[in-house]
Amino acid sequence: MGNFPKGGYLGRLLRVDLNMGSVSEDTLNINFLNQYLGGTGLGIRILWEENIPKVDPYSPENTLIFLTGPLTGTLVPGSGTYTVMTRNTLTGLVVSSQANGYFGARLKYAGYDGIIINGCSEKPVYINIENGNVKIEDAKELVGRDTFTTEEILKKKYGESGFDHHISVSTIGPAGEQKVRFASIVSDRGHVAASGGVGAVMGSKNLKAIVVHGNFGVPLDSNNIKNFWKCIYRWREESRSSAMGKTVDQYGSLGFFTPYYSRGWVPIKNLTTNIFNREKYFDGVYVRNRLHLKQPKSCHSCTFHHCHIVKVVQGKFKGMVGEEPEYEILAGFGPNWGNGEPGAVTMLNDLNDRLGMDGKEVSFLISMLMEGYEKGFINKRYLDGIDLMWGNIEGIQTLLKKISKREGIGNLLAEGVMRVAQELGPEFLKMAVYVKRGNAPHIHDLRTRWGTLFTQAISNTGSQEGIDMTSRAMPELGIEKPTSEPDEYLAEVQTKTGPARQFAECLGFCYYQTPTWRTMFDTVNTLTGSEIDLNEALKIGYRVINLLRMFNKREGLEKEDDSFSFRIGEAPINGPSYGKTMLQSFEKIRNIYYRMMGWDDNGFPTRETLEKLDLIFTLKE
Amino acid sequence: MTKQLSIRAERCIGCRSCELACSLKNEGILNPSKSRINVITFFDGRYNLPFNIPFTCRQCKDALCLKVCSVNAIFQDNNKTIRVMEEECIGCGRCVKVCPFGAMFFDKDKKKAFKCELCGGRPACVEICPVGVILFKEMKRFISKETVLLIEGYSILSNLKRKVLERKNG
Repeated sequence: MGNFPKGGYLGRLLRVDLNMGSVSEDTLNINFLNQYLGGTGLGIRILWEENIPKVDPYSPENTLIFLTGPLTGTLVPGSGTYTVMTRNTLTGLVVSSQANGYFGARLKYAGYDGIIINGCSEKPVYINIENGNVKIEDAKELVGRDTFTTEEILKKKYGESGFDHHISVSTIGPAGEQKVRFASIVSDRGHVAASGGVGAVMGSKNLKAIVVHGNFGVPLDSNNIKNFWKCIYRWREESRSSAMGKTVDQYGSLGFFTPYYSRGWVPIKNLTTNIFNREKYFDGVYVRNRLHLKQPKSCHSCTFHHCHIVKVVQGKFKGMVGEEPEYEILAGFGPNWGNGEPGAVTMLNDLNDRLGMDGKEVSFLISMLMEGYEKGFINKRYLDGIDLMWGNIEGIQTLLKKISKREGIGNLLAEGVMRVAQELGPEFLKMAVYVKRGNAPHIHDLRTRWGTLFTQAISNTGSQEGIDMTSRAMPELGIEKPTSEPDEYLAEVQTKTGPARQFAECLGFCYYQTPTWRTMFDTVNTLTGSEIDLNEALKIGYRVINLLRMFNKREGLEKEDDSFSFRIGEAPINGPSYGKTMLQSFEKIRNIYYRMMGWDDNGFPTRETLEKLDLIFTLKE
Repeated sequence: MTKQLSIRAERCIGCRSCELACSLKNEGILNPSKSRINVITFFDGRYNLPFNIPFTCRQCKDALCLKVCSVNAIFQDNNKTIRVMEEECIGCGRCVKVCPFGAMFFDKDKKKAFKCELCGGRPACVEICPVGVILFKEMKRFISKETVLLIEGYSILSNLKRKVLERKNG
């Protein structure tokens, strides 16, 4: 790989030290690129170098990284993605959180492949990056503002007002400023890097926002343009014709609601039941065509009719304008809160995005309180006078605002599902839904969706590490049949899909736009001049997982952390997947998985594994 | 009747693939600020919801850019396409300011104006558009009389006080 990289990278990283208020420029390390490509992989490699072990996530020494991948900002569909990496405020382990929209692409156009932020500013600031020029500015006027207003103010300041045009802003809301443990980073009006409290880390650094705009282009190999066109057309065709692509193109991720409901994967009332009587009002076709008046607002180079800005035209919340909710939010803010009014979901989603909090954590936190309230473990007085019955929209609204300001009961609730449950007592620990040392999982009824459950439980970043194969197969990766039962086969599937997905996370495109693997490799190769095939790709992904694992080991990860909470282990009491659970077989599958990954009995890479992957440096510390 | 770009903005999803495709085809780079088409999402305004409009050259019959050019660097070719002669252009920027659609662009590096010249008959934006917003078809030629320009929507850009000649990426 003599001339690697020929394209795809600008080759520059921005380094910001908020203690001193100074900025400097780093070049991208070519060896790192060869081994990790970008995104999550490059992020964890940089984080490994950057950080002193066992730093508190909230301390100034914790590093916050924004990174793009080689495909970001190109014609690859959904290539506005960026990755945020830092320590997870909920678990203390590493977190890698992705958001789409335009920010990633425009970060490259502004002149940088990524931003490394260290230290903590004395007063609130924001960073303005224009054409490689970086200024740290006073954010006095932005303090306390919600994410959308902050974005509007900054867009007006630096661009032409009222347009989404050439400027992207990535910002935290009031929740991030108050260091709510599950605060998120929001960019481009509702594209959220939600997982793991990345917003809280940004808030702890007194950094309110990052503005990116500029005229740089993404370099590409000028001798290879013809092939690049071919790859792009192939990619755009394939991602639209996959089963997932077809659904998302037509109805967005809302299209998954009805199929998931019929399998018992929709979380209802904090996983206490699997029957919901208003499911037809949450069907993708209904929400898309009847509930909302819609206007598309897609991400960078996206080919789907996916993201929309909508106005509710049915029901109690008529006239409400907001982002069209994704499936997970629709399920989490709807059935999971006993709320049968889909219009309310649009409203609450808008509120939650503005406050800047992680929908996953919020969803399972409030549903847990609702269950506890119904069962009489907490009363109205404890909740500052909020009557938190199932589906009480006004109550939820007040509670969300209280959490974001850490006001009254909100101060406790801002600590996240697991910590709140620990504080409130053993009954709540039985109700709490979390995986992995206190990370809320993706908003599904995970109990019978074992593919997702397993990959979340053993994941290193708190999110899904592999690809859920509960209902499909992927012959390209050697997965001939779906994992329809919670048995040892799950371990094999995870070993195969984990590295593949982590490789894709390094490239910087939207997961919904996944093409065939061959097209993915061809595109990366023509763009960057690399020579990646399936083996090499899986090796890169495998290396990323192992490095993530070693990082977490350094942070104090234990075998017991690869697990899930009591509630997720219970079997559904009704519905299509009645009586099934993964609880009994989980430990066995986990041990087989460790062995297949080349790890020891405690779930950490052996010396031979690390040697094979050039990760031996992780043992020196 | 000539073959021109017909834009059905109401279908646009705002993905800006056309911008990148344009710059890649015409300049061989992935850089939207070098593209001849420009998608804008309007947020403020009298409408309920934001909307996307791709702006590009309409190849006007009475092209203002052609009229204001003091060195005759802009001309109409046999296919009725308005084109810029790069070697003649002195980079004064008058055509950029006068275009009501914001479809005349300014290259900061070369100090020249540039615009859509329909990719010599196979427009890249038409081929890449995932939702069929941009079509290349036989149409009556567009007349940009000022009365027409006052029609709502088209006047938005001309009323905009542009701070700089050059646009930014994305």
